[in-house]
Amino acid sequence: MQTIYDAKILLVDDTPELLELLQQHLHAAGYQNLMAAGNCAAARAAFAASRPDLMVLDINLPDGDGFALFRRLRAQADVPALFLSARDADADRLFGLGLGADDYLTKPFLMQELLLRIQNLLQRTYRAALQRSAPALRLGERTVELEDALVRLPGGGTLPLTATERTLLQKLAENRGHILTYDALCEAVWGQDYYGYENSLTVHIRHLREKIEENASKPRWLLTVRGIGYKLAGEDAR
Amino acid sequence: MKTFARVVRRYVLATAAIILLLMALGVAALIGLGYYYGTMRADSFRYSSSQIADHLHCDAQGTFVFDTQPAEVWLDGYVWAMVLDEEGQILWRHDLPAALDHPYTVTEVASFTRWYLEDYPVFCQIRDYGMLVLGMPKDSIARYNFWSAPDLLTGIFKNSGLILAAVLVLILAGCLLVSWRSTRSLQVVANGLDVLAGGGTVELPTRDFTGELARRLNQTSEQLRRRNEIIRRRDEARTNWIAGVSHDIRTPLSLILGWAEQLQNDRAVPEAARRKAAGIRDQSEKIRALVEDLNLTSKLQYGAQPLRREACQAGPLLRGLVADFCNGPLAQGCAVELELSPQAENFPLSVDRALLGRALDNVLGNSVRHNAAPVRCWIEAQVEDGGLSITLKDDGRGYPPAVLAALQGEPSEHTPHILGLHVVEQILQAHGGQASFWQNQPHGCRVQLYLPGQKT
Repeated sequence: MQTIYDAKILLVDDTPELLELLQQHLHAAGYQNLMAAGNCAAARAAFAASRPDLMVLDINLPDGDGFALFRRLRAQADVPALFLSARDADADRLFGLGLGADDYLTKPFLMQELLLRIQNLLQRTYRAALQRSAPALRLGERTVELEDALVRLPGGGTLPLTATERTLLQKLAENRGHILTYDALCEAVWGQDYYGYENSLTVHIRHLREKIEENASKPRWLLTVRGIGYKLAGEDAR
Repeated sequence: MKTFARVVRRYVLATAAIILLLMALGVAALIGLGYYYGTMRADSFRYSSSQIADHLHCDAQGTFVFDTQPAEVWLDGYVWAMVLDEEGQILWRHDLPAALDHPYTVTEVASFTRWYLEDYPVFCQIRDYGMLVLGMPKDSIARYNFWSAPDLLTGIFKNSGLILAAVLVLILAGCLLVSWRSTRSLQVVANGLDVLAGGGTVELPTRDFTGELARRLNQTSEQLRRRNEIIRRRDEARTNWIAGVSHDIRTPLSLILGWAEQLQNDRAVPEAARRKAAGIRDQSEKIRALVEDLNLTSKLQYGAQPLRREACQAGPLLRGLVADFCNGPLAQGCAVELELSPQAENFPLSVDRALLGRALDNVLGNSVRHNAAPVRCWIEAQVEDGGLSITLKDDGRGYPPAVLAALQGEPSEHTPHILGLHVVEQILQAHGGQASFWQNQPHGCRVQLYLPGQKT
C-alpha cells in the first residue's frame, strides 16, 4: 500500500442508496478499491474473494446483525472496522467497540466526518507501511523528509530535525488540517506523564518553526490555536 | 423516627405532670374543705368545750358559775350543758331537756362519751368539779370512733413520703410501658411512611391499635405503586417512541445529507443549484441536531441516559473538547479561544466526556448557526466555590428577548423552542452543576456553566 487511497474498503449496508452514496463519496475522495455488500452473505463472499484493508459495517442487516458479521470476519483476519449504524444507544456503541471495532459512527452523519475517520483509521493502522513509502511533507517551498528527519530548503540546503521535533511534526502531519491539543502533542513526545513539559513544548515548537517556516514569527504552516494547541495547516493554506 | 420518641417523651412527661397536679389539687381540696367546714363549725359555737370547762367554776356552796361573762355567751352554739359527779348525778344543768334530766349509770356515761346522748352529739371535759357535758344540736356533727395500733400509725407517718414516691414511680413506669408498646406499633407505621416518602412500597401488619392506620398506608402504597407503574410505562413508551422515531429517521437523513453534500461539491451542477444543495445540507444538519437533542433530552429527563463519569483534569478535558469542536465542520464559521486560569488547569473533575462535549457543541454550534460568519467565541474557565466555572461568550447578535426569557425560566405565552440549550441545562444538572444564559456585553451571548469538583 503506497497511500491510504490504495486501501481496499468493504462497505456493508442494507440500504442500496446509502451504499451507492458511500461509494460515490469515497471514490470522489480518491479511494479506488471499493467493495459493496447489502447483507451478511454478500459481505462474507466479498471478504473471502479479496481481503479488505478496512470494513465499514452497518449493524441492522437483513440476514443477521453487523456484530456477528464483524466477529466472524475478524476471526479470519485482523482487519480494522468502523461501525456505521442508526443504533445510537450507548449500549450498542460500547458493545461494538468492546468487540474490538476501531470506531463507531451513528447515522445521520456528515460524509466529511466519515471520510476523516476512515483516513485517520487507515493512517493509524498502516502507519509503518505508509511511512516506508511516505512522500515528503510539503510545506510551501520547503519539504520535510520525516524518514530522514531533514528539512529541505529551497536553495538546496538541509536542516536536521531533532528526535522531539520529528515526533511533533509526524503527529501534526498525521492530523494535518486539524487542531492537536497541547496534551496530545506532549503525550506523543513524553508519554502519559507529560505534566510539566508544556513549556518545553513551546520551546520545541519555536525551534521547529525556525526550521519549517520562512518567517518563524509569522508562521504560515505551524499555527497556534490560542489556549488549545497547534495545527499544521493544509497544503492549500495561503 | 425520632419524632415519635419525642412525642412519647412529651406524652409520658405530660401524663406524669397531670397526675402530680391532680394529686396536689386533691390535697389542696382536702385542706380547703377541712378549713372551710372547720371554720363553719367553729362559727356554730363560739368557745370550745375545754375553754368552757376552764371558765366554769364551782364555789364553796356547790354553785356553778362562769367567770368573766354570762353562761349564755359561753354556751353560745350549744343547746344544753350539764355537770355530772362521779356517781352519775347531775350537779349543774343549763337548758337541759327534761328527758335527759336524770342520773346516769356508768354504762350510759361510757356510751355517750363515745357516741351520742339521745341523738345529741356531746363533748365531755373532766375537771375537779366533775364531768362537764356539752350538747350540740341534733344532726349538727357526725362522730366516728377511730382506733388503731400505734405501730400502724407510726409506720404510716414514717413511710408516707416513701409510699408517695413509690406510687409516683409506679405511675411513671406504667406510662412508660404503655407508651413503649404504643411506640413500637407506631414505629412500624413510621418506618412505612419513611419507605413511602423514599418512593418505595409497603405491606405493613394490620394488628394492634395502629392496624387501621397501617391498613390506610397499605392502600396508599398500593395506589402509589400503581400510579408509578403507569407513569413508568408512559415514560418508557415515550422514550421508546422517540428513540424509535429517531432511529428510523437516521438512515433517510443520512441519504439526504450525503446527496446534498454531493450536489454542493459537484462542480458540474449550476451555482444556484449548489447553493440550494448547501441549504438542504444545513437544514438537514439542523434536523440531525434536533433529533439527537430530542433523543438525549428524553433520555435525560426520564433517567434513561446513564452517566459514564471518568476522572479527569479540567485543562486537558476542555482543550480536547474544544479541539473536537474546532476540527468539526461547524467551526469553519467561527474562531474559538480558550483561556484557563492556573488553578483551573489541573482542577479534578468527574464527568461524562461525551455528554459534556455535547453541551459545548450545542452552545458553540448555536453561536455559529445563529450568527453570520465569522463569529468569535471565547471560553474561559476558572475555579469558583469549589467547582469549575466555564464562561462561553461570543460577539454575535445575542439571544432574542423571547429566547432569553425562556432560558431564564420566565413564563411566556409563546415559548420558543430551545431544545439544544435545554439539553445543555440537563447535562449540567445531571453532573450536579448548572447552566445559566445571559446577554454578553456589549453584544453576543454568554453562557455560564458550573461543574462541581470531583468528590474525594
